[in-house]
Amino acid sequence: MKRPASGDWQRLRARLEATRAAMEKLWAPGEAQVREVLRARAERLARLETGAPADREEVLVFRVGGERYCLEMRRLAAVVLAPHCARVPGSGDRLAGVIQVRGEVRAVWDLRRVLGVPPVEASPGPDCVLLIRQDDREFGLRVDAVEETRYVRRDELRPAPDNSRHATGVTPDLVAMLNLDMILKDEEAE
Amino acid sequence: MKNMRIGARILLGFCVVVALAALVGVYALKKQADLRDFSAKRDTRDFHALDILRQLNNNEELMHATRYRALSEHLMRKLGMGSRDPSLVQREWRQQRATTAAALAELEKATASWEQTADNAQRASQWNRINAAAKDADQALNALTQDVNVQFALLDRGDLAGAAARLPVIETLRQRFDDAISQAARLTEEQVRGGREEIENFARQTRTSVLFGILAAVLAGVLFAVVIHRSIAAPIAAFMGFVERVGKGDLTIQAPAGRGDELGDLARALNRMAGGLREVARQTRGVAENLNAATAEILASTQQQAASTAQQAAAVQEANATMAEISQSGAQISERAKQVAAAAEATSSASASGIEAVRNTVATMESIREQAEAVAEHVITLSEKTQAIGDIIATVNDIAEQSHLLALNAAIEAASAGEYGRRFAVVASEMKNLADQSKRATVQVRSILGDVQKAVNGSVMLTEEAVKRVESGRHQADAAERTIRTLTDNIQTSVQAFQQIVAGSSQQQIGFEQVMQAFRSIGVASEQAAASTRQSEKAAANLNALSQQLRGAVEVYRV
Repeated sequence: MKRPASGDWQRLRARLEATRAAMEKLWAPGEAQVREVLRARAERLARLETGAPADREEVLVFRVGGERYCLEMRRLAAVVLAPHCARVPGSGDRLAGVIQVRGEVRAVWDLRRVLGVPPVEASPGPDCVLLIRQDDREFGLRVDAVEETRYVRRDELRPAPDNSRHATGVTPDLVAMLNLDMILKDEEAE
Repeated sequence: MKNMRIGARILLGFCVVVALAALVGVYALKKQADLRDFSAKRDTRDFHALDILRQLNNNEELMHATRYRALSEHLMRKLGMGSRDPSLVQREWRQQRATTAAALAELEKATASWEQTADNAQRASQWNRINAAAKDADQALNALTQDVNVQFALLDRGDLAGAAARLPVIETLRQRFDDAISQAARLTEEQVRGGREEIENFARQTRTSVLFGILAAVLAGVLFAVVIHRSIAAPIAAFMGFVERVGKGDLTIQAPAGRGDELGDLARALNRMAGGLREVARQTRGVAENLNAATAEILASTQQQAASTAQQAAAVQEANATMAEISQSGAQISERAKQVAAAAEATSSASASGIEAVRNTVATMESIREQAEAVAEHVITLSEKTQAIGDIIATVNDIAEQSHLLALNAAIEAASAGEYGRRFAVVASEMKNLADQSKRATVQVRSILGDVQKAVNGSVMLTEEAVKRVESGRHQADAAERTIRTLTDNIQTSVQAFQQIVAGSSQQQIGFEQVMQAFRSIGVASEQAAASTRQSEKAAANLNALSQQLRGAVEVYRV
């Protein structure tokens, strides 16, 4: 913070005065300002996209063990932040536990173990559980964090390397799209 | 000769000369003795003979007289006038005759012996003739005696006539005697003359031989003297030459010292002397060198001293001038001190106002400190208010997150609804955007709150710092006050000191006067020192010149 010179009190007071005036104006915006804000909103609304085009898929990008993966949004049921996850004894590592959603108990798999991602240090922030709807079942996948939703073009998706059955493809910026069916098959095989 | 002592030589020469002289003298004496003997012999004999002859003559006369006295006595007696005993006269005549006979005998004997022992034949024959004459005389005497005896007998008998008749015979005999005696005398006189001539010749011979002897002695003496002289003079000349050369300065030569006499001793002594002179010359040369060097040093140092004395005099002059300046500046100091005292007064009052100002400063600082602390209070209140804002923002954030999640779920629902959910997906997406915006806004606000907090901290720190500075300022003000007090005290002290300085300065003036006096006397003394140094310089120069001379003189001697 710049120290004012000894004769700068005048200027400081002027700044304070300007700040105060600006804050007052903020809470009580004038007509012009209100109009401006509303115009901007309208413009934005007008620009809103009406959903995903046909060649795009909406995906949710999340992080597991420091790596970024994504899943198709249409496969998701919900995203739940930091639910109370009760461990089930004797369930092995892959099962993180069970949570309660809308009064229903759902199983949560630890995606890290499922994918075989090497563990990293405890991720900051609360755990997330992605609720997956499969046929008529719902189950959860525990991930470290949810990042964003984005649209991925089908033709952007590069094929995954041969020995990874769990990924359907990789985006140009190296986000692997998980193949839920394969994962589920493997889980059911276990 | 070379090894004989000179004294011995001279003695020898002297002895030789003396010997020669003695020889000559002895020779002369001998010759003289011979001559004397010669003449003595002659004279003795001759004069003896003459004496005897004279005696004979006298005796003969006496005898004649006595005879006649006898006759007369007898006559007188006959006449009856005589009283004496005539036998006495006869006896007397007989005595005389005896004497004469004795004398004649003596003469005969003498002449016989002289004849035997004569020096030459001539004299011997002469003595022979004289002897013959003496014998004749003796015969005559005897005859006479006989006749006289007859006469006397006749007389005794009183035969005067008979006696008288015998007179002519006696007379003839007497005459014969007389003639013989005269002959003898004549012969003797001839002898004497002859003797005299011989003596003359002998003397002449003697003289000649003595002369020769003298000459020879002289020659020998001269020769010897020459030899001795040469044996002495030549070496002495050599020594003279040696001494001359030594005198001229050539000390490298040696005298010939092979002789065993005094000259050899002299030579050795001269050599020793020359050696001593060499040594002396060498030493003198060394000393002269040293002396030269020393005098040169002395001269140099004297010159230096003269220079330094001059410098000293100049320095004294300068010091004198400086003293005058100092004296003058002393007066100035006095003046200044008075000014300083006045200034100190002013400073004293100024310091009082200074202290006042400091006190005011301290009060102001106190108020500043209070205000700073008040500011700190306000700022902390501000911080607490900021915390309230933070709480609100946290709530907003929470809401934003929940909204985000909700929007996400809404989008999921919309996605699962497929076609029908597309419009809812838009709404959900918008909601998500708004939630994101909100979240971003909260992030911004949080960051701003962070900045505000930082600013608050900064402000508190600054305020703290300001307070500390105020404190330190307070301390400094206190220090300033103390300093001002100290300053005031110091100034007081200085004023007192200056007063003392003024007092001291006037004393100093007096002192300077004395010092200047002293300097004047130093100047005088310095002048005198300079004068004496000049004299010393002159003396040193003289000394130097003398030592040069000495060196020059010593250099004459070659060693």
